[in-house]
Amino acid sequence: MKIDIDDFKIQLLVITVLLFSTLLLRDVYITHLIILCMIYSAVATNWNIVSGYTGVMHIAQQPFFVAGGYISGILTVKLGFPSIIGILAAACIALLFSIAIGAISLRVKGIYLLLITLAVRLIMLSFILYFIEWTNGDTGILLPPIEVLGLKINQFNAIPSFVFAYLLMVASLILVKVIVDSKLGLAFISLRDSEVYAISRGINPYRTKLTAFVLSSWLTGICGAFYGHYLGTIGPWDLGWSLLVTLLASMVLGGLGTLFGPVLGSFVLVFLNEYFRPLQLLRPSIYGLLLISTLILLPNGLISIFEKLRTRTHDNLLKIKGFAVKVSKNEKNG
Amino acid sequence: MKEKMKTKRCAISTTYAAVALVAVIIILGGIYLTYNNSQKTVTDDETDDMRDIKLGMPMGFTGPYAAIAEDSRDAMLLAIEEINYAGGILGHKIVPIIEDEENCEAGIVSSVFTKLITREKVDFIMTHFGNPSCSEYDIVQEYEVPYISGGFVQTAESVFNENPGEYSYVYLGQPSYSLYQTRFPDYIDELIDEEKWEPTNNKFCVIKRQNEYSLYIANGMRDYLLGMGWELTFDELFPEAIVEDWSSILSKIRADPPAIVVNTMWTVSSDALFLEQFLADPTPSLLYIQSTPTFPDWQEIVGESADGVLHCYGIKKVVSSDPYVIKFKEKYGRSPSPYGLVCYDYVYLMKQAMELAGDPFDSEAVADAISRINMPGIMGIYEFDPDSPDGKLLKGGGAKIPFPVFQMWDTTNYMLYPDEVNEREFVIPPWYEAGLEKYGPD
Amino acid sequence: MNNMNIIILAIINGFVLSSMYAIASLGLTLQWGVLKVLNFSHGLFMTWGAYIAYWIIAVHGGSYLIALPSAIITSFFMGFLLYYLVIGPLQERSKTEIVSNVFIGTLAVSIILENLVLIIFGGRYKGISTIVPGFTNILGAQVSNQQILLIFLGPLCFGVLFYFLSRTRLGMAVRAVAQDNVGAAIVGIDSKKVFAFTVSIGSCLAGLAGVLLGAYYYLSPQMGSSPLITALFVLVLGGMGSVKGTILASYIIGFIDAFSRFYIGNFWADPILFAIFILVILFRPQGLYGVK
Repeated sequence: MKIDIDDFKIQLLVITVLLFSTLLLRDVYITHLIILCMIYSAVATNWNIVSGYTGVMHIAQQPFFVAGGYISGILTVKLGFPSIIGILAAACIALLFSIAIGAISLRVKGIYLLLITLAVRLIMLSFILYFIEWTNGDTGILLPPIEVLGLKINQFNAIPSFVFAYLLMVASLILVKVIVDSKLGLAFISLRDSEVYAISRGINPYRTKLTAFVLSSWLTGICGAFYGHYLGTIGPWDLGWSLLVTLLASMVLGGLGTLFGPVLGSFVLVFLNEYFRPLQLLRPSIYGLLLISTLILLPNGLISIFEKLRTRTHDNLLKIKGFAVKVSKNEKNG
Repeated sequence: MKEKMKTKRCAISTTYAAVALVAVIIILGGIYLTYNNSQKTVTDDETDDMRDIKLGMPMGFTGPYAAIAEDSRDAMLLAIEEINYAGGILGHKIVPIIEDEENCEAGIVSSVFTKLITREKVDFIMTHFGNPSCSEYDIVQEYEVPYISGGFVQTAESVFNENPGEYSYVYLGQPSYSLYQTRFPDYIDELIDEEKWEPTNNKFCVIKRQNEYSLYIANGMRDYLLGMGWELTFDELFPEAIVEDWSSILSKIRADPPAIVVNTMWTVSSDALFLEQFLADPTPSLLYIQSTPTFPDWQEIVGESADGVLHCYGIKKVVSSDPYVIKFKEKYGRSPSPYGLVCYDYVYLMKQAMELAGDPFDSEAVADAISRINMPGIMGIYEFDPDSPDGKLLKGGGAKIPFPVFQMWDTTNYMLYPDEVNEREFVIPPWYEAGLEKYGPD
Repeated sequence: MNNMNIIILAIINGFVLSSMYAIASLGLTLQWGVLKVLNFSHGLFMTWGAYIAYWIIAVHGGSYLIALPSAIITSFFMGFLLYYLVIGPLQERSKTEIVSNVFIGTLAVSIILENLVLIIFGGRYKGISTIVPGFTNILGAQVSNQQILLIFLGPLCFGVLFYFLSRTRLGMAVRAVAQDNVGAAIVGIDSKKVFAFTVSIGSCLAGLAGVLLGAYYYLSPQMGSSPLITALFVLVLGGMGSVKGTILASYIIGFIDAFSRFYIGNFWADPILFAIFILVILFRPQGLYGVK
């Protein structure tokens, strides 16, 4: 029996085994980092739907994420609703938010779209600081743990949090896979590759891109809510450049338009950042240098290392078995 | 094209997959086994006698609070050096474990605290401030590590008030800031009563920033002054940003000159620019500027132009001839800022608590002992106030932490009030006369 | 103080702010127009310009006569390095993802540059002396001589740049590459060299803006972030890539900024600018003079 390593289910299984085996280490710190990585992966994977597969680069993902956190925070803390309602509301509000932002932003393209979403971030920050009775301004909201099925989920309950974060990540991956395999996904990719041709084939670019926006936002909202409850707090710092770079770089460095690229990207970035922490003051410079070199040397993302390894392994395996390795024209260009 | 690459399939046999999986499990298991061993810092052979006291110092060295983090760390390191030289705490040396929290966002703060507690196994954590929402309180409480923080007093107060008894391991090394709201107005009252100053009118204006410290002090002082019969000309709120251009504010001030200007922006560059632009065409007003006059970089930038500026601060006067300032300057080549003063005291506070508890490694005893400390420091005499929220804050006012009102002359702050700390008389600021001429009552 | 005085102050303020915005934005618009990339490390180049001036003036006691040219020349070389090490390679390697790659790439550069400032100079605020001390009385309002200098510097830079672009051979090469770099190549212009030169010139304008910001305000490692945002606004309003548009937009935004602070209040001045920003992008993305 042959195991098809390109099969999505096998890939998911490998990742699941790897992730859950880290629980065996029983190291609170590592588990905490991995939970954060999984959330960042989930957000980056959702972001990939719009920026990777549809080719629309924007930075509105962070507002969706933070909006989710704040909605859940306001509902649970200021209005006394249970956390489940908070999470569901986070998904809904993030969805509505994405419709609004998408409707406005998608009227323009390229750098202009990026700049509108930049302005949205800044405006959101002003709103958070202004509506101080609801958001506590620069202090942030302290959130209670999520209570579901008799379990409490926050950073002191590692296993339930781990499972929740894992489910969010897998849900995002499954969402992307389903989209990519569908006709809608084909529409997205065709818009990225050649919008003119796509339009000529009858695809409405505005509506399709808006769909992409909406599909990518609801899970992000839930991730934001989880993030808030897990850490116990949500605040204007979550809209800062630090988190933006982490999320954006996870997606871009991991591999735009690839399924597991953002996952790989976020794990590599978070762990590298932690690994470099002993460098103290020099850490940001080394981090920045690494970002730039990866962008230049691996323009298709970190995940392309796997592709290259696989091609080589495939060829080597064939050589071992005695087959001559013919490099076809397709392989060379592909 | 990416599409084409994906359709190339690579199938491997079950045996290869099984071998790979087993290899992964062996590697991970190996890591687990070796890792768990390295975690043990205290084996059964090593007794508590040989252990060092690990002090966790998580601060935002590479973010917007870098200057504060730098000063706090340097102050703590100086204290640690002194204590270790004198024999340590109950014979144990202190080892600083410094971690960078970047911009103090919640994700990084929780990662750093978790690392300090579960990996480095620190015995105590100390910082000038953590995350603005005080989310790290839950972490130190969960893992039972004593923690002293110096920041975000209003948030801390509300956290303690809403959860009495919950945070036995957390202490705030600051007094309540309520005195900031009343100290200066009370002093003005005294000045007027003793006829040391005759205000041109009974008006005042307030300038504040969208930030809890600024709002608390500004709004509190405003309401207190209003209650005393003063009249408010304007109350300007700025967003959370550096303000570079003060012309709009200054034109309001010049249009209707108030006798008192209350500025709680507490940012070095904003306040320096305000002073500079005010002095270009001053009004006969007393200037009250919160907090920044105690910062050495502000003193350096504005120099003697700040003569006459008034402010109120928790820290007692610290002169350049102060032995601590000399020590700090010698070691680091610059003057300490207020954070670089208070954090020095925190280390000594920890020392006293550990000595009172008798065992530096008995976290519960140490945490409890903190509430019983009584020692002199930069702010005054430190003692935790049982009447403060959950008893977690220091006692402010009176003999403990007097909250003096200062006036600045020659880049030095002189204490004017209350009487117990008075060292100089109030003098009308140099710009006042010019202001009177141009804007005074005819 | 009567209303007339307030208006005069607001107008003078408007001119000063506009001038500074102009210098800060010209470099950015030039880089966008020629390379079609947005250099997000532009703010940090301003910061570095300021700190170089600080180093010369405050640490070594030099004067502005040495500090200004030094800052400009150093920024020029830093821009040169920026092109050959970061922007150039990214332009070659990434076709479809160039917007995001350059965005992250220049963000990474700004992380590195800010970190270096922190390590070398520390996090505390620094100040440098005014360029020209003293005050003058204009129509009853006290104006500092430094403000007067700033009012003239903006148009001066614009004038020099305009002359350079329209009258010199190198300037025309720059315009050619901006218009159509394939066409320019056909005519024999090495677009790579033009790109490098453009980034360098843009960076030295940033350095100059930084020195002025440092002299007018104060220095800190984060001082470049809000000028960058303002420069983006100016760019969008004026038309990205249009020098004429940028200068006009910087005056519009400078005056809106100055007057809204006087008449609407400081808290809402920023959100109003954000709203204008979004409206311009939505309804006239080519700005005033830009090409769509």
